Amino acid sequence: MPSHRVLLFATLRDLAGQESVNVHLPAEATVGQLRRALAEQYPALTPYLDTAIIAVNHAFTTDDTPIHPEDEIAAFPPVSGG
Amino acid sequence: MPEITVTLFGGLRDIVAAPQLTLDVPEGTTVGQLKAMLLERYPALAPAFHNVVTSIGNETADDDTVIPPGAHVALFHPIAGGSEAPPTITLLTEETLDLNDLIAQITRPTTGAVVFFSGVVRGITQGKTTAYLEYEAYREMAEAKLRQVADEIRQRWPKVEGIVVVQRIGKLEPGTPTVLVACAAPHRDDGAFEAARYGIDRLKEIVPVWKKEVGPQGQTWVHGHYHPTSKDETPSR
Repeated sequence: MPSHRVLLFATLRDLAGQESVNVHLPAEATVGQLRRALAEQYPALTPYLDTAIIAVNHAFTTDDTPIHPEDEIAAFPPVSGG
Repeated sequence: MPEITVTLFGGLRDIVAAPQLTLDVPEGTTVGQLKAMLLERYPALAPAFHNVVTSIGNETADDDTVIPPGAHVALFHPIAGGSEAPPTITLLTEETLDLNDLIAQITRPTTGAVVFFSGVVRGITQGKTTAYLEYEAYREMAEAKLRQVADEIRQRWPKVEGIVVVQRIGKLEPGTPTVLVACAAPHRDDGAFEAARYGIDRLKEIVPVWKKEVGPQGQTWVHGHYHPTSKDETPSR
């Protein structure tokens, strides 16, 4: 299965103990599948994955959004800037 | 020698450290000669001067135009004035926010009102002490989303001219400005209040920046409440 790098920020990065993780996903996967794969492959992230925002190429997504091999993927908690 | 008034806008104003100068110039002085005089007095103007726009009264003037006695001459840095697209400043920075400078940069000759919101690190929240906040960003996306906030303001409030949407990141202590949203318009009723309010609310929804609160009790990440989806990618929600 292809491996995708997922950038992590804030709480998710602290929980994983690293700035990014590699996730194995079937070809033509969606953001919803990525969310489940992250939970399975990195159980430490599980408590925050339901509410995590997943961005693909700097754009917000829905669980139906497709993921392509060269996409830049990031997972992070709801933002708290300002 | 006849006296003339020279008004400077935007970045030029900061370089000269005055919005207006009163000068005595020989009769027959041209705009080009005036610019040379100013450059001699304020050499730091040079980089901003090569494409500066000059007007006398309400008329645009070129370098050969002779300045009549008592004239009001205005100099615009093209980014901050003139008739081109209104200035939009979006920035993610670790540097101190210079609120006056940012506002000066969006002030055009037609601006009569600037509404700005600045968020500041709160030292005490319901009795609880904050030593400092540590701001982190997903830099490239945050820069794109700051631009989106400005674009959405522009689309919704067509009378708003200059727009600033700036977020500071890094370790910030109580009392420090962390964010600036400013909207300039000809008049205060042109939507500037609503636009600035929208800007800060929207920034807190879609710009990927997080703050960690550090105090005597330890440190905690602050989480927002909004869950943006693909719909938030289209500027008109």
